Amino acid sequence: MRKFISLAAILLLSTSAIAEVKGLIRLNGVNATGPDSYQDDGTGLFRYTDSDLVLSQALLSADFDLGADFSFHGVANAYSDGEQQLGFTQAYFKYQPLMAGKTKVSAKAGFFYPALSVENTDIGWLSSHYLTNSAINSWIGEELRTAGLEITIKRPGRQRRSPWSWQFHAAGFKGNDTLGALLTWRGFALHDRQSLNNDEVNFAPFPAVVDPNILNSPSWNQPFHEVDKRWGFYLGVQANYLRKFDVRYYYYDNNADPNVVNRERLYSWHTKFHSVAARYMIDKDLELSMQLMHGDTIMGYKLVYADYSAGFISLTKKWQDHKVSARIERFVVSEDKYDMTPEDINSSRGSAFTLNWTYAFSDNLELALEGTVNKNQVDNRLTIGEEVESTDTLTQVAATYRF
Amino acid sequence: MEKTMRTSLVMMGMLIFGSMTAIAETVTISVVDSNGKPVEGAVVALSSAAANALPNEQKQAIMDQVDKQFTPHVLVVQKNTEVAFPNSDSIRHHVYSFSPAKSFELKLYKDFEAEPISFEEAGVVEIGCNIHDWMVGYIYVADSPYFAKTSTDGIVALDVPNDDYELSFWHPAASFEDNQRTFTLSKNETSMTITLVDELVEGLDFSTGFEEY
Repeated sequence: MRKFISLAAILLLSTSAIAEVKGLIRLNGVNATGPDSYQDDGTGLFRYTDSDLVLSQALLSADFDLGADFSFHGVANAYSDGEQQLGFTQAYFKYQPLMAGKTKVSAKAGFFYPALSVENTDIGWLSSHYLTNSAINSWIGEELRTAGLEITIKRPGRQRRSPWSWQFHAAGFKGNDTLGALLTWRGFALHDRQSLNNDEVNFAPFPAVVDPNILNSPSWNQPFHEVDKRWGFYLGVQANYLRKFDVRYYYYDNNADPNVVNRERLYSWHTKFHSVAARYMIDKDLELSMQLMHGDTIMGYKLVYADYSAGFISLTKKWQDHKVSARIERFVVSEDKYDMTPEDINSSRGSAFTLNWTYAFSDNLELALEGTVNKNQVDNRLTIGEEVESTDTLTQVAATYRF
Repeated sequence: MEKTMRTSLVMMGMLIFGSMTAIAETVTISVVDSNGKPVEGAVVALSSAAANALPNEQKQAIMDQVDKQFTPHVLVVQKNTEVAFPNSDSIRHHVYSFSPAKSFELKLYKDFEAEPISFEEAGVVEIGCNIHDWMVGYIYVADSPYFAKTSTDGIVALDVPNDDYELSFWHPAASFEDNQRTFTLSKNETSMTITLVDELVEGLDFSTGFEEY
C-alpha cells in the first residue's frame, strides 16, 4: 500500500512537471430575436432562441510532454446546449524534433483544426476578441475537423536574420465527409459552439430535405463521419513579417465521393474551398484582421450543388484593461445552376455586424458585452411557410473565468 | 610621533596606489558602425596567456525566460561559468543550442528548476526555443574575465593589467565578417576605435506581436 502511495505521488509529481493544463469557464446571459435557433430545429442563425442563461464554454486545454520530441494536446469541453454536451474538440499527438538547420519539420496526428483562422487564437480555439465567431469560423468550428496527419515545414525568420517566417502545411485525413450539409441547407450561422467529437447538429426539417421521395436526409448532421472511406487533403502556406503581420492561405478538399450514403442517410459531400486570412498589429493596442473564403459543395449526382463565399473584417482597440472590437461580414450560399433538385432551395445570404466590449478585472476574470445584428435571407424558409428575410439580433453579457 | 606615523601611512598608500597604476590601466574601446554611429550592446573581450589563465570568479550567471524572450538577449560569461535557466513565464519552454561551443537542450516547465549548465569552451552559443521559434538569445563565452558590453554611446572601459591583448568583437546584429574580426591591443595602448565594415542588421524586432496557436 505504502509502495502504491509513493508510486502515485511520484506519478502525480512527474505529471505536474510534464503537463500544462489551462481552463476556461464562460457563463452568458443571452437575448436573441428572430426565428428559433437551428439548434432548436428552427431556421434562426444564432446559437440561442429567446432569452437564456447558458454555460457557453467550459473547457480544459492540456499539453502533455511525452519524452524527447513528442507531446499530446487535448481540449475537453462541456456545454449546457446541443446534442452532445461533454466531449472533446481537439486531441492530437505532436512530433516536433529539435533540428539544427534553419528549416524545421514537425507533424500532428489525431483530431485537430487546420490553422486557417486568425480569429480563433485563444485557448481551445475560442475567438480572441468576440463571444460569437465570424460566419466563416462558426462553420469551421461546427463542421470541420481533421482526423488525420499534418506535416509542417517551417522556416523561422529569426534564425535566418530575416523578418519573414514561412510555414508550409500538408495534411491527409479521413472523416469529415458530411461537411457542407449545414452550410447548404441551413446557411452560414453565427455562434461559438464548436462541435464535440461525436456531436450532432440540428437544423430545421425542410420538406425537400427530409421527404423520403426527395432527398430523404435527416434534419441534423454528424459532421465528423467517415462515409466513403476516401482520404481528403489540405495544403496551407503561412507567412509572417516579424510578429506584426500574419497571412495564411489554405486549400481544402475533403475529396469525398458524393454518391455514397450511409445507413443513417447521411451523404458524403464533396466540399472544397480556398481561404485567405490575415491579421496586422498596427500598433501594440490596435489590431486589424480579415478572412475570405470561397468554395463549393456537391452531394449525390449534383442532387445538391452550391457555391459559397464569405468574408469579414475586424478591428480591435485596447486601452488599459478595456478592449473594443467591431466586425463586419458578408456571407452567401448560392445554388449552382447545375443543381438537379429544384424543390431543395439552397441559396442564402446575409450580412452581420458585431460589437464587443471586454473588460478584464484581472488575468483570470473578464466581463464582456456583445451585440450582433444579422440581416439575412434564407430562401428555403419559404418551404416551411416562413418569411425568407429576417433581421435578427443577439445581445450577450458574459463572465469568463480562466485558470 | 603621530605626525610621523601619519606621513608614513600616506607614503605607504601612495606606494600601493603607484604600484597599482603601474600594473593596471583603463582601456577604452569605442565601437562605431560603417556610418560612424555608436554601436550599443557589442561584446568586447580581451585575451592573453596571463588573462586566460585567471580563475573564474563569476561562479554563476542567469539566462531567464521572461514574456517568451531570453533575458538578457546577450549574456557574456567567462568560460567555466555555470549558467542557470530559470523560467519566469507561466508556460513551458524548450531551450536548445547546436552551437559548436556548447550543444544542449533543456525542457523548462512552469515552476521547474533545471540544473545549471557549465560553459567550458569559449565562443558564441546561440540558443533558441523549440516551442517559440522567434525566441533567440546568445551566450558569449569569453576566455578571460576581461569583457564588457558597449553602452549606448558605443563605449566599454575595462580595467586590466598593462599587457599585450587580443581583442575580440561580437554583436548579434553584426555581419558574419565583422563578428569574425580580432584586433591587437598592444601594451600601453589605452584606447581603440573599432569601425565595422558593414552596417548592423536593423529592424528585426521579434520581441512583441502575435503568437502562434
